[in-house]
Amino acid sequence: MEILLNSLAATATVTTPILLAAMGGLINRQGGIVNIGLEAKMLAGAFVAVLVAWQTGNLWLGVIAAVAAGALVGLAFSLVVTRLGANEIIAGLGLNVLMIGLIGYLLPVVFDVRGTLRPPGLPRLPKLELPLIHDIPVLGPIVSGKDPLTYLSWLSVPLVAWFLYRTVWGLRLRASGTDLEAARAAGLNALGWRDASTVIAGAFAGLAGAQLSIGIVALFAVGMTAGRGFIALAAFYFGSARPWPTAGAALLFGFFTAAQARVQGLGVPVQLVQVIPYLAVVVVLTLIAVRRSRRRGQEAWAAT
Amino acid sequence: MSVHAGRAGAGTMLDARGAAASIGWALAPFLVALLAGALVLVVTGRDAVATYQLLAEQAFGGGTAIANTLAQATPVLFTGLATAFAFRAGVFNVGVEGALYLGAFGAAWVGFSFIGLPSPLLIGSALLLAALVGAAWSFIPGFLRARWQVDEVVTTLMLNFVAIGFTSYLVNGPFLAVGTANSMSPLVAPAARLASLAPPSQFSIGFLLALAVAAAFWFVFSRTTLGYELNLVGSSPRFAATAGISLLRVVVLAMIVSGLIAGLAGAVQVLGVNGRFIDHFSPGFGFTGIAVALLGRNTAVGCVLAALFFGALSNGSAMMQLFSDIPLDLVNVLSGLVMILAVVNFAGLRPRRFAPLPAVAEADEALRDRGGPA
Amino acid sequence: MSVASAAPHLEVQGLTKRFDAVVANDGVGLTVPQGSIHAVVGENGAGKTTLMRIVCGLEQADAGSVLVNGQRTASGSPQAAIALGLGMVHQRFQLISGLSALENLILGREPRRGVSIDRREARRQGQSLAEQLRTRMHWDQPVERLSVGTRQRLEIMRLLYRDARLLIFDEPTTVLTPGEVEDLFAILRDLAANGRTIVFISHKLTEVLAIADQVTVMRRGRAVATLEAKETNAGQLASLMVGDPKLVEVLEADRAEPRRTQDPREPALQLDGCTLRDTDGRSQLEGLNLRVDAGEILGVAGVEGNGQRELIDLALGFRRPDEGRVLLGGRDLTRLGVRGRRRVGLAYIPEDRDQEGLDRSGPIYRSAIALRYSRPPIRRAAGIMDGDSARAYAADLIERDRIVAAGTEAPVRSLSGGNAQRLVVGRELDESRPVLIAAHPSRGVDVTGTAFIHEQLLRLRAAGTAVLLVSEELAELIRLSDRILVLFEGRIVGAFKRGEVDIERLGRLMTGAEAARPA
Repeated sequence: MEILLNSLAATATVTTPILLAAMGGLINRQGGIVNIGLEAKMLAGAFVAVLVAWQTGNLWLGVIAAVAAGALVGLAFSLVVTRLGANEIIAGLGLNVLMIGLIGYLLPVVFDVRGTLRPPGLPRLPKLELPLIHDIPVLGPIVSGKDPLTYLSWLSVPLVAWFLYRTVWGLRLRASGTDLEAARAAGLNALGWRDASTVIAGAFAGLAGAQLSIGIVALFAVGMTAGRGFIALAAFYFGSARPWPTAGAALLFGFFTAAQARVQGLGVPVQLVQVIPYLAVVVVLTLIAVRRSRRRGQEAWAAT
Repeated sequence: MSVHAGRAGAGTMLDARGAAASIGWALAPFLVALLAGALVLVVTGRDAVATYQLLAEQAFGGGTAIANTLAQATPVLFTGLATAFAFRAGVFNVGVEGALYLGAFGAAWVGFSFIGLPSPLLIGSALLLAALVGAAWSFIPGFLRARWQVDEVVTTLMLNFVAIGFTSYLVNGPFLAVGTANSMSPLVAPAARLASLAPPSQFSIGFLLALAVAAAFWFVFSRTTLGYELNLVGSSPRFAATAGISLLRVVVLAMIVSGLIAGLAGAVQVLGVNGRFIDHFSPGFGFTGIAVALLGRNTAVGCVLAALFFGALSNGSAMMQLFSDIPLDLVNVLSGLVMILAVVNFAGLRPRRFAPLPAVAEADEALRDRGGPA
Repeated sequence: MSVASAAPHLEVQGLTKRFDAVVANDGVGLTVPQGSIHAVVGENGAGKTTLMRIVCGLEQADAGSVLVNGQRTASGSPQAAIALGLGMVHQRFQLISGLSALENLILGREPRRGVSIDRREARRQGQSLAEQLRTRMHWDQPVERLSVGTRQRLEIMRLLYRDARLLIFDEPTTVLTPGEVEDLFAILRDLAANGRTIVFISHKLTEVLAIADQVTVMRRGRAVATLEAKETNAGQLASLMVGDPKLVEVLEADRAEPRRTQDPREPALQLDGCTLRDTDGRSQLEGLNLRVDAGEILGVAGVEGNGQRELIDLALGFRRPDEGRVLLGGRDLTRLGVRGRRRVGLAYIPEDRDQEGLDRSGPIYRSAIALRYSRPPIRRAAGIMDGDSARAYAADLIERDRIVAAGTEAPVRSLSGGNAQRLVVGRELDESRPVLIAAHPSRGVDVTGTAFIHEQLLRLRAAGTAVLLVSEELAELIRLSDRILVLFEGRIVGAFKRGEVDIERLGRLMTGAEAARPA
């Protein structure tokens, strides 16, 4: 029971990077691009956050720089896909490898460290204690006392929902993502909107990375994203690229991630628990496809 | 009409120029990547020329160096062929990494469980199990794609993590070697090891096995009816269906073979290099395999050359690390760039084979459109 | 025509457009008065859609001019056309699925309140449009859930929302039920009464005569005649549409040519009471009965979109009928797929040779052996393919059928249209097969190539093959067929025996101007 409560208390913080990246990823998906390269942008954000916070002595500048870095990487990636016609899946995978290599290269060559950048005396983002809520038993530790980016991530969900479904920009982005030609015929700069969706995804991923590095541990380590970019991908696939279901999936996966370290003692195989999000995506996609093919009736191609 | 005569004549001329252009485009990602890498080096105050020179020396200077380069090329040649096999058939398999892990574990299990068997039998059954496991694993997303058009990119990508997590569980749990601190399986029997053919390098019979697979790959695609079907489905799926070829059968078969080769990749790593199954042992062989397939344009010869390139990079940089302060992450930089550049649409020419997804997906769309009004 | 006081809303002068070797529009002239409903009729390939696409800025003309309200326009972009008050409802709707009806309506011209969409205003405007059209719209439904008729009305509303004054409709009634057609016509009359001008592309003459003020007939890229609807009838229009003087020559020539027929007759391909429905439940083919005997060429005439594609899919095995049976050689093979039917001896010349007939990116020999690769001599023991005999076969084909190619290894892409078709035909007709389905076999082929293909079809016929010939070229059908069936809205509405083809009646049946009589 205590393990459960501990896990729940940690869930919010652990969920944050997943949630942020997933929000970005879903906007990108609605904009017509599957962003496999979220890991890379998260990593870049984490790195830049630590770097800038260290050099300027200002944590918030670090956060802003992380967002900018993610957005920039996103823009470069997007142009390669939309203007140079690169296949987005492979380019995304390549970007992940490239970023790991680039940062891994820069650390020893420029900063004279290997694997981890731990600027001395670098503070973490402050923990905010929500008045009143903080003192509620059980709920208090779960909800209060988290870093500002976590609270920001919670706000992002209704914000993204509002953006996508209630604003002009959101409509145009969704239209461009679904049908490039029809969007053009309606007078939109469809490719531009696709690029915009990727830039936004990059910004979110950069923010996620910042939370990981200066929000939690005040250092940068090359392996710190640990597949969270892919879990975020799983989350928005699971949530069919809709904000609230995706947030739910991100929360669920975040809970698993938080719990796994704590249930080890109980003999529950940690690695199998980690596998659940990915398996869930495969199952969901299969169910959707089966239902869709039933509705379509005849399947001449599939039949031998 | 004179147009015909003109076309006929132009045909032969186009071929020679076409071939040269083809090779040019094939080398382009490689060259641009090297240039970009050089840029990174220069910007961070390092001597690009000297670095590349050192890299080349370490990769090819002397017998042991070459042997190690070949040894490093082995796993990515396997994974490259595995990926290319699926790509040729129009199936976008990015799940070779997962099949590799499962195959590796299968081989390790045989290796440490059946200690009494004589060497050829032990090695043979380890390889066989690895191939079977890999094939079975890749069959799943293949079938889902063929039967219900489930997007194979996402499924194979996700299943990678499932496979890695599952084998991690196995090696940290039921199959953890007693008395070790790290997550490893017990050592396989000495009889199961693939001995080094050129000590102190790690060059073993595994490389020759990979070459044999490459030869088989070439043979299938150029000399068999199966290869004919795979090629046709990959480049013109609607025509293939109209000619009576079963798309379901071909897609599933392509995935099975892809997984089979990936399984062998894992087995060779276990038996030839590590001697046991180590948690998270792969530095992304499967993903590098994608780069190999792309750079090699999904052909056997191309994959061999591309694998040698990556093997040289890997070996050279590992050695280079000892003699300079350039970290081996440079390899990842080059590798990632190659992957991205290989799918960029240089000058508006996109060879179909590089983007298997659209071809088959379009065919599906065309079918779905038939069933309904505008 | 009413007193021409104002400039015509739309005028086209000497418009010419070529696509490679095909002249889609040849010096077309057209005048559409303000506030009228003007129909443009013609067969497939007559050039109607191309003409309208040029007017709407989706294509550039090679020569000629377009005048809107008396002013010359630069045929430019779709945006320019919208700005001039032109709008087109295409055959394939341009609605974006996943978005709601309301969102589709306002896309690109959204009423705003700051940065967010003013939904109330949008809904208000939408409702007023819906009232204008006297229709109910479910604004929040995703468009793909709406019925086809509703979606079409949404498309109209989109045009009105952007202040279109001239609305162009491309074959709007093909996807509608008779009731929906009535509703649409009521809407069109209202719009015209309120000062808008309508241009209406169609091949269905009864409908056209029911709604239009004037009718322009196009044939082979030319505007052949413009008539007041009141002063003409379906028969006359049909004749103008299909009555190529060349056709009459063909008919005369054929009547003079006797032909051997096979007796007794064995049915090789039969469709028995076949009904096929799409995913919305609409029937694409209704109770189709069709029979092709051995040694016979059965022609199927009809305007594209009346069930030809579905008929071919059924015969080929790509789709299974919802009701009815398909028999080959007397055996019920309804459940057999394409592969099985190919094995039993079905040959197929596809309509779209680039997608279904050839491997465009591969070498010629690979496309040539598609039906033979799994048999000796190309296939040897254990699945090995004999490359030499594959290339030899391809080389034979090239020589025998006089295909102009740079060799068996040359890419298919390098072949001209005519030679590519020769390759397809050569491959399919290579052995005697009991049944051949030929879909528009001479499309995109020049005169020599067409003659060659016709020669092959007749040769097959003499050798006992049953040929199902679907074509939009009446001359081809008349020259080759022993019988001609007319397909209209998924039903067989008429039949003609060789030597008894009445072109006028054929035209009327194809355009629904004449009710179906038992064949």
